[in-house]
Parts: sequence; structure tokens; C-alpha cells
Amino acid sequence: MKKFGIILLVLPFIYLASACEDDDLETTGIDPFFRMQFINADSLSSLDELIAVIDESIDMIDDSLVFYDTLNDGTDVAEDIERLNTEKTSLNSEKSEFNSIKAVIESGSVVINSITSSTGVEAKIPGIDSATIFSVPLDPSADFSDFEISLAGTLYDLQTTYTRNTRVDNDQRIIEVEALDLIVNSSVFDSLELTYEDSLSNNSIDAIVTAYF
Amino acid sequence: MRLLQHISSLLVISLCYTTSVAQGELAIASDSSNLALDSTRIKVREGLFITLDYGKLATFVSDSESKFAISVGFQLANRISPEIQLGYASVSPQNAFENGTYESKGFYSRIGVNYLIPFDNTNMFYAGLRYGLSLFEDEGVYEISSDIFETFSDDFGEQDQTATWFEIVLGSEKKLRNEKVYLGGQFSLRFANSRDKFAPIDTYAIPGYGRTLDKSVPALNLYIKYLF
Repeated sequence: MKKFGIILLVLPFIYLASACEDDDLETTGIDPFFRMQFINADSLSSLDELIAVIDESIDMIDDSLVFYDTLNDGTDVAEDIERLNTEKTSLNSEKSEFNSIKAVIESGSVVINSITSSTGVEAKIPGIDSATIFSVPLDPSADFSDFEISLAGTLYDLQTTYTRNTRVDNDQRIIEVEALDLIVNSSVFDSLELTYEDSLSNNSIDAIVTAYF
Repeated sequence: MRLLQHISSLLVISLCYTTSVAQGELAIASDSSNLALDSTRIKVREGLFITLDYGKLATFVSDSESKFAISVGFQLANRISPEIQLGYASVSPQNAFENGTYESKGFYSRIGVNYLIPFDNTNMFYAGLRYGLSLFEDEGVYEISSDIFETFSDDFGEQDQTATWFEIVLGSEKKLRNEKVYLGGQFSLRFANSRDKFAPIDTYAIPGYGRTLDKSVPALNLYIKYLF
């Protein structure tokens, strides 16, 4: 019975000793962001023009081949037909190569040198979600974030506005600041396109901005 | 929570232990005197008592919480024991928010009644009900870091908060060599009744009650009691 009393006396201290926990705050990776991809529209336009020229050449070769097929006067055109077919194969190969380059550009595989915020904090290379989509952090202390994006040696400005919403993630026990109803503007990009992965969402983490330059 | 479950289990074991000891003592007494002891015949000593929750005193060496509670009550011969408890708690649970700190502090009171079930002249079980009231305030600070913006920090908190709850209590106590001093422990299950709610950051902990995330909160208290 004495041991039982000792156990009761010691229990609170055992509890306190075991209740000591790591008190480091986890403050990273919880800031609001949106995702962005960059498409070189000028290059796409040039490639489309080149492909159109190749298509025209192939059409002309096809017309010539049809013409040679209609000749029944004993003229030897085999050598010409072979030359045209070789040229057509070469043009198709070139067209295929241009289409591959076009697909790469359309996928947004563009290297970003850096993203700088208007607050003057050191510029950093954004994290890469995939080979083509970049996470761009938003300022949790303001309803707007302005950026300068260095892309292929050229600086592009980008302005965003949004509505901040503070919430608690009860599962993770994290206090978050969400950025809702994101609006993007730029005076340098050719055009900007904003879409949400989830059509019912207005949260920036579901937004993908496609910038054409 | 797991630790609390272990402690609760320990309390249950201790209750069983107390019961077995008490029943053993009864059996020995019965054998030696050939008297058929009936626990219903054991008289409860009447009188005023005070209890001190010594488990809470251990929190004064803790950085994360500081608690104190004292009770006053009266044991009646009919085994009814009304009791009122007053306490103060300041808690800073480190797992309240992963990216922030939190503190809740204030005074609380419980009023209720126990029904005493003595096993012999030294060991006693009891079951009871309580109504709790807490007047408190809370505050906290949270941070969000960014790769390209300054770290964002903001504070929150609410003054003059009120919360009430009900408790079911099961406990046991044993008289020590000093006839007036008892050592006891009790397990209680607390059920929230009313409280102020806030958005977007709601109250996390209520002094005297516990975490607000759960609809019921188990608790263990260890106390020393002086019966006048």
C-alpha cells in the first residue's frame, strides 16, 4: 500500500516529464502561392509560318506526282518521281522536327532565371512543381504582390491582387492565410490566361496562370 | 492523450487494487471476528474538508503550464458530499498551432456533489457530478515564412471569455496514518455546455476544462484531503 501511495505522488512528475515537446515552430511551406507556366508565343508563330511553307511545298510535290502518274506517252519520269519523293520525305522530316519544337514550347518548358518581389527581398528561383509549372509565392501580409520575372534574359513585370482569408487547418493545426479571387496583370507579357484546376475553387493554390510572351 | 489513457488505466488499476485490499481487509476482519461486515453499515465520518490538487503543484516547474486548485466541501453522514473547487490555470500547449504560440489563462470553479461508497474505515469510493465555470482570456502569435517576401507575423486573442461544462466523476481515496488526512485520485469526463466561439481562430484551451477540439475531455486529478 505504501508503494501505491508513492506511485500516486510521483505520477504528476512523470506526466510533466513526458509532456515536454519540441517547441520549434514550423513556419515554412504554408504561404499562399499560385502556379505559372510560360509559353513563347512569338516562337510558336514563327514555327507555324515555317510549317505552313513546308505544307505548301509538299502539296506542290503531291500535285507534281499526280501529274507524272497521268503521263502515258512513254516519257521516262522515274528519276524525277524518285527525286520528288526524296524531297517530300526530307520536308516531312523537317516538319516533324518543327512540330516537336512547337510541342516543347507549348508545354511551357521555359527556364526562369529568377522571380523578384517588389518588397526588395532577395530574388529567388521559384520551386518547380513539374518540368513546366512553377510555384510563385504570394505575400501573406498584403492583398497584392508585384513581381519582376527574369525569363530568357528579359525582365517581365507581373501584378497580382487577391483577397486574404485566415483559416485554421484543424488536422495539421496550422494557421494559414489563403489568397482568394486572384487577378493577374502585366504590361509586358503578350497575354495572361488564368484557369482553376478545380472549377469550384477560387483559391490561388488551385490557379494556373499561363503567360504568353 | 495516450499518456492520459495510461494514467486513466493506472487509476482503474488503483481503484481495483484499493477494492481488493479493502475487501481483503474486510474478509480478514470477518474471519477473525466472525462478524458479517456489511459495507452499508460503515459510517461515513461527518465533517468539513479541504483538498489540495497536488498534481497541479507539479506544473509550477513546467514552462508550458501553471495550475492550482483547492476544494472545500462537507461530508454528511448520509454519504452525500457537496463540494466547491476554485482554481487558476495558465496553459501554453505547444501543439496548439504548429506555426505559432498560444496561451490561455484564467480562473475556474466547479460545484457539485459526490455520493460516497465506503469499503471500510480507511478506503472509500465515490461517484459524483460537477458543473464547471471558467472565466479566462487567450492570446497567441503565428508566423508564415516566404521565399521572397518578409516573414508574416500576426497576433490574435480574446479577453473576457466564459465557458461552462458538466463532469462525471469517479474516484477513490484512502485514509493515511493521520486520521484526518486522505490521499485520493479521481477520473472525470467533462462535457462542454457553452462557450464563446471565435473566427477565424477559435479558442483552443479552456482553463479547468481542457482542449475545445473534443466534445468530451477525460481528466485525472490526484489530491490530498484534510477532514476536520
